[in-house]
Amino acid sequence: MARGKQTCRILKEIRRQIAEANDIVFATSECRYKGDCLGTCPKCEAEVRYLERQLRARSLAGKAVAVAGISAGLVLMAGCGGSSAPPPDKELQGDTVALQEKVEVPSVSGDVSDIVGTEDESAVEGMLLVAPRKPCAAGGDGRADDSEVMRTVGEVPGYDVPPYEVTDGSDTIYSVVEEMPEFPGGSEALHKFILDNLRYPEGLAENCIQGRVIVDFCVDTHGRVRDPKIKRSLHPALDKEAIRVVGLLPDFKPGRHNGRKANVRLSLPIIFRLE
Amino acid sequence: MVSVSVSMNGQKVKMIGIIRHRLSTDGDGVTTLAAFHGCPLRCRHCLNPQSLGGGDGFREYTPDELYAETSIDNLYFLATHGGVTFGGGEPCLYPKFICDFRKLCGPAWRINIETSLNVPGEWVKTLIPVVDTFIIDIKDMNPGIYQSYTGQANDLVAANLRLIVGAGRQGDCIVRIPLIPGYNNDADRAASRSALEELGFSRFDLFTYKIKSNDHGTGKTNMQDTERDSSADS
Repeated sequence: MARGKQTCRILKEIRRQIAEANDIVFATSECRYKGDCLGTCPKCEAEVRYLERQLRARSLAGKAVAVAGISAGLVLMAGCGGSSAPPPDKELQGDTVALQEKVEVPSVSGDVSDIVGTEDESAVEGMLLVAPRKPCAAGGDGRADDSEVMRTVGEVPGYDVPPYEVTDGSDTIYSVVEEMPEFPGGSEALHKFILDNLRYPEGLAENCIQGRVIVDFCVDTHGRVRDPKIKRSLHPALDKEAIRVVGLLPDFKPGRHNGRKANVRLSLPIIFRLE
Repeated sequence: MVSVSVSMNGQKVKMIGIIRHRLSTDGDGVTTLAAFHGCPLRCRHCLNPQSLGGGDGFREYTPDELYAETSIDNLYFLATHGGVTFGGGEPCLYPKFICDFRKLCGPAWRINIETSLNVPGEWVKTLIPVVDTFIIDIKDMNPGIYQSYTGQANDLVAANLRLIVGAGRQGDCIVRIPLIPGYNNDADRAASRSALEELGFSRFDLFTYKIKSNDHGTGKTNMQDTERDSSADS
């Protein structure tokens, strides 16, 4: 556990150095995660995704991006051992590889706060799939098959707003907080809710439209879902359906930051794919 | 006979594990260890015995799938000159997979391999241009000791060491020379080091296997209890 905490501190320092080198406002807090630590957690992962988005935005804006090698010496200085000469009388860390379970389909477990994604589809760990019962067939109600596997990934946004909070004149809305909002029953319950309520629009299956819609929404301090908006559009009818279902979501357990309930903005990718 | 998942034309290979956030233990910087299933050796105190046998229950990956999974740490790799370390098992059994992976990740990531080098020379030749660091577990340079511990001859190892020197890559190698209780001693390890220095290698990692006796009178040790205690020198 101590090693995991040390790893966490080192990785946090690397993130801080990247942010500093690129003039990215980066406010992080002391880790309060209890229990066995593997060196990373959803909060840490969210910080990495945030930095990636900020760096991408800088690059697109024509600004210089400094990442390569800026923390090259940090790992060695942190006393993790040299690449060729571990200190004497120390146990080598080339230890047994933990068995990896064979899984056919990656799945997201835990609550919404565990859900982290990126814009790069190839790096996303899970996808919400919706397909009509009879793909590309005329007629039918377009309802997703209950037996189909559905996996959800959400994304913590922060693209073109100040890093961790934006002030809309009334309430502060965060993009990352210490305790992210939780859907009642966790991710599996969220999956089921979407599955039970999402409808592939009638008549659209003939067009075989498939792809990803991203919906941004805010979970306020009461846990209510507010202001769902399309962040990435696919088709007006599918966008409308995604907005409709997000609007049906029950209250979350609100996020918390610095010991207080907080408004938090979340993103939920929904993939419409024909099978 | 070695059970190998063949990597051809993007076909899947079995991995016994993928471990993120390794800090200077498998190469410089932050690395992810990707361990293949399959090995030509049968070392008496294998550190990862799950890499042997049929490989049932392990997940299979194409190079694209592995790249997608490891990309999550791209920022750390770039910032620390880290990357992916292939181990196992024996990664040199999958030269095409690793070459395809290099095409996906490009030159920015470091690719290291932890290997016994006990594979056909053509496979090592394929890997030389795409691998940044070879971390070679030599066991012992003495053929008799090597055979006794691993169950295999070390002719291929010696040939591949010369191959690497011939390619001018000896400076990119870290040779691990273990002290294996019951199989070799300090004099043997010193002899191994001298032989390697004569070949042109200069970076060594000397360490000692610390084996817990659990034989219950059978004379066999529990491989899962094998540990490493480094008394390093370079």
